Amino acid sequence: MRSAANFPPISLQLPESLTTAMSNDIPQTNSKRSFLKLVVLFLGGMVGLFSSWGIVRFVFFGTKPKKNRELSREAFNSMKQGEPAFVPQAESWVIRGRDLSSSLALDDRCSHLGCRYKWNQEKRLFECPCHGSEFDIDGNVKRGPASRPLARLFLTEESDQLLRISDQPPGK
Amino acid sequence: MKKPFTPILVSASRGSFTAFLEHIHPRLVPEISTRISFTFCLGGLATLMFLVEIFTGALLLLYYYPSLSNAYPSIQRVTYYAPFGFFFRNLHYWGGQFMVILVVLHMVRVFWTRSYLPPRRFNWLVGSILLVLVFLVDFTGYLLVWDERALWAWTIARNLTEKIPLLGNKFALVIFGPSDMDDLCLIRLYAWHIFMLPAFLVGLMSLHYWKIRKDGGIFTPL
Repeated sequence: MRSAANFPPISLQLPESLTTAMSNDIPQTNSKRSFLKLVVLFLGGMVGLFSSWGIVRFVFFGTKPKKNRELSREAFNSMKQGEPAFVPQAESWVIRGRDLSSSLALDDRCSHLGCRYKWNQEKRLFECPCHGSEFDIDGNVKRGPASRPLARLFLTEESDQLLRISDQPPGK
Repeated sequence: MKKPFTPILVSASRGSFTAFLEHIHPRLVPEISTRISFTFCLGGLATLMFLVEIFTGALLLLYYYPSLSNAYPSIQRVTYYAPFGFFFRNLHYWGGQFMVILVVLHMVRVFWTRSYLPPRRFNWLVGSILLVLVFLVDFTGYLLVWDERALWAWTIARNLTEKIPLLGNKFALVIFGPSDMDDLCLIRLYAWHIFMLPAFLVGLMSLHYWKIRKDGGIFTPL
């Protein structure tokens, strides 16, 4: 059994260097210490700012209202088969197939960092101007840095005059 | 005419904040107990992990969907689609694993240094309950993912609970909910994981820390 006698007495003597530093003889303004304090505050503030930016982005994920993408039947019929056509009001590219079910629409944002890409007729590839990602006509990645294919959308019949472009396959 | 602003409230609050910090800190710290090898800070690190879990858990709450068909997809969504979601989810997952490891190591350290002896017997008991609660909170988190592993872990845990003589079935109903598997089962686990077990943990942790000080801090000779 250990007893109190075996332990050294409690020492509260501060080292001399510390007591000197704590004394009021040293001016506290414009000193190295106040500068370091400022640096620490600045760095801490930057870290805090960046972390809160991440948290804010996380919290607001998925809160944007869904895009209302529509396309008139007339515009669809005027498109050439197998040629991508940009539909600005629907913010998507439509590639017309033989009929509606074999047609495809792609969200007009690059899957890498969300730039608007363009169709290159000579190469027959979608090219992103920001980082040079390339996608084929079905939206598959041909060249990085994008790693995911373009977001695919489906065309469904809304009425005789109107087609809807949505991320849900028809019948769901 | 507008009164000039006097920052009296700011300085007053600053004073009370430092007073609060000084209050939770021991008045005297023996020199010898400032050595890291004295406790390896294992209890404090486990507390830090608990705070990390609370913070990241609160963020994950925003996207978790406690139903049998949506739980797993909602976790996939938060991990792979939400900005920084992978970071918060992994922080939550690994924080939980490290919390279990640290709590076990803390118990081993207390046992090794014979700190369970009087006057700390009661705190050893509180710590033992805390250990079980940490296991339970970790286990319920494991089930909430609701993948194949969670499904079988749930089945095994439920069967084991039902095998307890006399009260087994009642226990299983309280802990796991109705026996036919539906959304209510997952909601019950969710309630255990995010509220009831952490509430017990916070209560007992406060008792644990208070008893450390009452029993003479980390240094008083045995």
